[in-house]
Amino acid sequence: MKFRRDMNILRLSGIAILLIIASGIMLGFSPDYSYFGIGFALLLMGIVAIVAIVVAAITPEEYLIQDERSARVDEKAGYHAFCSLLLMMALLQAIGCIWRLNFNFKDVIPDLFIVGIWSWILFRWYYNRRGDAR
Amino acid sequence: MNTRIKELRARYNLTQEELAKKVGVRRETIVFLERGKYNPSLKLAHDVAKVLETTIEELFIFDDD
Repeated sequence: MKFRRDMNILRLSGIAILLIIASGIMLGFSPDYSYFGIGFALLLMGIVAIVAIVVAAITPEEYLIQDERSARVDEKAGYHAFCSLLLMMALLQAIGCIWRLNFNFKDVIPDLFIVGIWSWILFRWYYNRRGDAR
Repeated sequence: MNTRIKELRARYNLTQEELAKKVGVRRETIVFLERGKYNPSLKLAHDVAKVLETTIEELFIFDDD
């Protein structure tokens, strides 16, 4: 396994390390835990950034090229993920009307985010495998 | 759709990776092209034909039925 160390990887690693240091300062030196939430969020962002950087660094460079096929797959997956998100919202609205649930859309935003992100990932995987010749 | 990319690539002793690098796409795209599972843009078809020193008509074979 080859670990790439180009300029982009180094720059992003620097940002991730800065995020973790900032979170350490906020968590460690906050007198009355008033910055605990922000510190914890920064720590999470730093950890996620480091994981993403490691994945990007060990992925061969040829897989990161954005060519016409990958752009087409991304567009198609994005469009269908958006459609599934709209369908989900319409279904929730219909269920709410039929059973008079009176729920607020604000309460289901996190679930809708999960639906959107996962359907994008799944559609991307599917279209990447399938090809598009007719 | 069938293609003669694999045959012509072998004639020029090119690997999928080398061909991908020459036309500026991912190796996966060449794999899909060779299997006839991807409809390339006119630009990509032209680039591949140019690298393999042939024409688009000779490279891609369409079933007319």
